Amino acid sequence: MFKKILIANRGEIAVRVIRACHELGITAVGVYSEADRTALHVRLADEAYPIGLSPSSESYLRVDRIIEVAKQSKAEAIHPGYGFLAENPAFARDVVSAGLEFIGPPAEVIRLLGDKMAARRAMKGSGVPIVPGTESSIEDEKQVLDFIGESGLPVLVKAAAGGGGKGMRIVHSADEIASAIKTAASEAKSAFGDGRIYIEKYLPDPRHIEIQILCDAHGNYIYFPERECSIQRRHQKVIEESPSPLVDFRMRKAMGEAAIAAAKASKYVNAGTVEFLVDSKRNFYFLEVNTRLQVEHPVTEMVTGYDLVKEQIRIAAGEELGFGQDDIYARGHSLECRIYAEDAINNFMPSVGKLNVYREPSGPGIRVDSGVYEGFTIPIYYDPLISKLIALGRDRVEAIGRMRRALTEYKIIGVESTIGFHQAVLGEGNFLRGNISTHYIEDRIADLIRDEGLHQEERLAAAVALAVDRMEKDSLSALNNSRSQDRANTWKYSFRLGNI
Amino acid sequence: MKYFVHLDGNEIALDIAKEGNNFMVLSDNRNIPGNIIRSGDGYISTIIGGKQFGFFISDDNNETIIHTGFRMLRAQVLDERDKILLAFAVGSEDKSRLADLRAPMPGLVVRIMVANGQQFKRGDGLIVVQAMKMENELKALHDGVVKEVEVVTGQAIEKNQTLMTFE
Repeated sequence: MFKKILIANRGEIAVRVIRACHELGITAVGVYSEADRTALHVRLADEAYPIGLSPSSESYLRVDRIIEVAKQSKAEAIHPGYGFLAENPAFARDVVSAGLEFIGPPAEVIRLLGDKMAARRAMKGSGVPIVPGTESSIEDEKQVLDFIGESGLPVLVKAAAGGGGKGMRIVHSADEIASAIKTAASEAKSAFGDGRIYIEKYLPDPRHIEIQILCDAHGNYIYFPERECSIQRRHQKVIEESPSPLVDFRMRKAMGEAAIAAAKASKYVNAGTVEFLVDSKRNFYFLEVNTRLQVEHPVTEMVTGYDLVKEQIRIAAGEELGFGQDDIYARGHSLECRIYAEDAINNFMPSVGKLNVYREPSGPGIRVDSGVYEGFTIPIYYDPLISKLIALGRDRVEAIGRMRRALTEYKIIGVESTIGFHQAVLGEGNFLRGNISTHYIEDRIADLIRDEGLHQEERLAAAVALAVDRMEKDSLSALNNSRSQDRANTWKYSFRLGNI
Repeated sequence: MKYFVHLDGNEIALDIAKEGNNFMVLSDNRNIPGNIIRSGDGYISTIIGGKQFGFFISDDNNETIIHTGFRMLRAQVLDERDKILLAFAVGSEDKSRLADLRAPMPGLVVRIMVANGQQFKRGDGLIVVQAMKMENELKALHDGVVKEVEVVTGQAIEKNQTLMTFE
């Protein structure tokens, strides 16, 4: 087992990995950019090293700096977290070349599965159902038209090197093709450095259901109960749950076995997630493999009781999985809400600032994975994730009830947050019935961000609180200043008041 | 004490009497008793009719913000004096450079601090008027020169009455 691991990440996932290290008695080495000197993950790390200026490109993406620090600290392995360099095959290779273990799949597997087209070819060859699409990348309109001739409209243009919705365009009619392939290719080129695009059949209203897999270096493959991640905004997951309200025992087994087939086809090792799209007839189609730990891994941990990060570390240390497929089953239901520092009412504009008040909820069935603390100023350089709020209940109804309760207890003041938005989703009829798809948010965004206004009783109480607060502040300043000094501001004050 | 609270698109008029943590508020012609206390972490707990409401209030850049539930609302609390001053400020046409100084409320001239032809700087005290049982020193909003002081000490003045003119 490792004695020391370097975590090449920041924020809540760095905290998560540090916690797993500490539970295994492993020394945790953290790295920080200039903006993150006071970050929570630095406080929790045993050792911490600076790796550069605040922008990610100058710090968390600096392969050279990270490996230099790893050697300097004598770390034996590097955990990449998610995002940043986690799915960068060159990084994985460089880590190994430097004599360290990379806590994740081998570089070649990352490379194969990171190329979405190569991944699809590998899956097709292993009998894993894939979304119908083109075998090779698209050079011109004619190829698209040929495909449409066979599979029909609408179709989706996608980036071969892509993810996160970048380089994607929907084509509803033939005259949209030319501009769609041009803009998708250029977006892909600038986001991933690779402008190759391909076409998939566009499934209307699909559900996004994924399978967590763990594979050790001894030929053992395990799948976990599915996660449903259909509640997305602009292809970013917002609410995830396990198990899926749609999936029954038989479908779970079929999807799980397809995921294992995908893992074997790609010679997968360590933790990964096989993503599927599910159509209205409950047919599932392979979408892609994420060769890293996912943001939403906690919901799987909650319903199965297994610690996925510790398992990642054990696998990388060469251990065999200590359990079999029969040991894995979902008990209860878990939900996760990603709490972002965003103003939902203003098109989810990132809201940066100091967390003047920050109180996490707790109580039965509540887990919070965060990388912040009260008084911390959320940096502008990285994604605005404040925390992941996770709830576990005996069933979906209880999990939702606990999540709603936790959301009301959660106090975040100083930045706008998506707490109110999540509360709106968790009270909405379709969500409660499990009637969801990847278009859920888009279809009802107006209702979800509508501001109801205060109830009369609350408004009166608020007015009283404001008035009393004012009374207290006035008497305090009367004590501090002389009377006339105070009233001298009246002249200027009257103009400030004009801003009502 | 009377307050006018602007909140959530409404103006709420209150008359609050406080004794310790207990209060009686007159609002909308109803007398409502309650209890209010601020905790060490800034949380303000208000109980009215047995119902507990919690708020955090912060002052940021001259703006008061009240946090309730998931919402962050801008609020403004005016006492009676503020309301009068506001009415006066809104009536003023040119906010950048004023030709004269007018009384914001009826009162009494207590002390005149400048003389005809005197130069003054922004922030200098010009005149002290007594109104609503308090002395108010009116300060210059910009640099200028006094043209003519039009009142004398001890004179009773009316709202909007010209106190002095500027060059």
